[in-house]
Amino acid sequence: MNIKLTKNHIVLIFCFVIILIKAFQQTTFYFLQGSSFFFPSIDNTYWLFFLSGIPQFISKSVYISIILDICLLVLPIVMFINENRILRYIYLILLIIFYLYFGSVTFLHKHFLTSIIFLFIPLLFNKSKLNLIFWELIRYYFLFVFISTGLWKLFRGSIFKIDQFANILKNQHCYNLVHSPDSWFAFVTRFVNNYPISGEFFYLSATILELTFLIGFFTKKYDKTLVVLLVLFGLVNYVFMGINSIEFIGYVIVFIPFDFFENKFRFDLNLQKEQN
Amino acid sequence: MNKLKNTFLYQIYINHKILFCVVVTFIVGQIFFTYKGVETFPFLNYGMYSEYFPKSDTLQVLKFHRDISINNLGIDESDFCLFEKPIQSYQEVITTGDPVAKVLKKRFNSDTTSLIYKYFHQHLVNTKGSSKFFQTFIYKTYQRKYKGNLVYVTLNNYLLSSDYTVELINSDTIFRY
Repeated sequence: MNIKLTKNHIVLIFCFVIILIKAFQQTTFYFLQGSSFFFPSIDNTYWLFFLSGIPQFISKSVYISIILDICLLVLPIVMFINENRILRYIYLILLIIFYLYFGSVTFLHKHFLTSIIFLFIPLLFNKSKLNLIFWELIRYYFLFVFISTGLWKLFRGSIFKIDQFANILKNQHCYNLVHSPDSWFAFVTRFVNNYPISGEFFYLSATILELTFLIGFFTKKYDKTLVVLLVLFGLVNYVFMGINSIEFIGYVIVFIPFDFFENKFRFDLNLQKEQN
Repeated sequence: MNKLKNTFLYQIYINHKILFCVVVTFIVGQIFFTYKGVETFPFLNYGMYSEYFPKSDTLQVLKFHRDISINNLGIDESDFCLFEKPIQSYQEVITTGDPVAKVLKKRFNSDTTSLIYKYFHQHLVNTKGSSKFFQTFIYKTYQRKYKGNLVYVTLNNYLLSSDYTVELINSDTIFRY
């Protein structure tokens, strides 16, 4: 059986890796089971989710949560070989349930995590023209997401507050300031608070970087540059804020040409058979 | 007009009318929820630290007291998701009430006698019963992650001085096992 590595396969690998990280962080269904204290916020989708009784059902059953975790991890591997469309629909529903359940129990409606859902949508239309169209749509959606983060900073006026980044860091690294004053994050917080202009420089640079993605709406000529900028954003986010942006960096997939992997990697799962 | 015809949206309109309607609905939905300032998945607002953070010299930190030692939480994402954010939100709900209950009351115009309201309340609002489960959940999660028996959890407030030394102002016990 020949498997040409495509963009769709990369998404499956990406989903598998993210779920694996979540499992190591002990934040998958099994680990979050039993809380019974939920936070649906005022998000209507979360409300519908809770009115359906699904999270309450998962929370009460250890076995169901284990089964769901196994499905989250195993299905991407199965779909790597088997292109069954129904499996893909099931997996997308599972990802949405995971996203909503994770947000409800951790009280953290983590927007970064939506990447596994949005990036998975084109896979529902494998081998059809719609697959290509959806890849384009997700590319535009990501551009909108990134540009909107810059616009929010601009319109809320936070980029004009010189102490904004200094205050963010103080809030973000309060544990380090109290417990590990010699750590890197405590040092960065002290430095930026002593020299707020340096923080303003970083905050302004991040906003400009986010707004740079506007160019992606008009041309694909700079997609490689946008990939570099996105990875750079993730790295700087980690170094200064301690935020793991791996889910968000996954969006680099949308900038990769459709046949990029196909021409470079090919798997042959049944080499012996072919040789015979 | 020619430029418009070259757009991706126009191409979708020509080739897939249904998909075009879906895309336009999504765009309208996104604009609507952004304007309203609320989120309804998948219409999310990606603010990313855009709200103004006012200057504050107090730091709020959780402390986990186990057996005889004190465990200071790490800085990893896992601790943030499993302990910090849930416990701080729990504390908020306990002291000021569940914000969902307030929104629910407002949406039902304070008519709390209807059956639909009761159904919504039962499924959406945290009760004292769920609070007990939450304490057990934190205990078990902590035991699994840090292999220690929790005795109590406190939320400490510190004053950060100009030379970045910290001084404990007060300490509230959230759970005692």
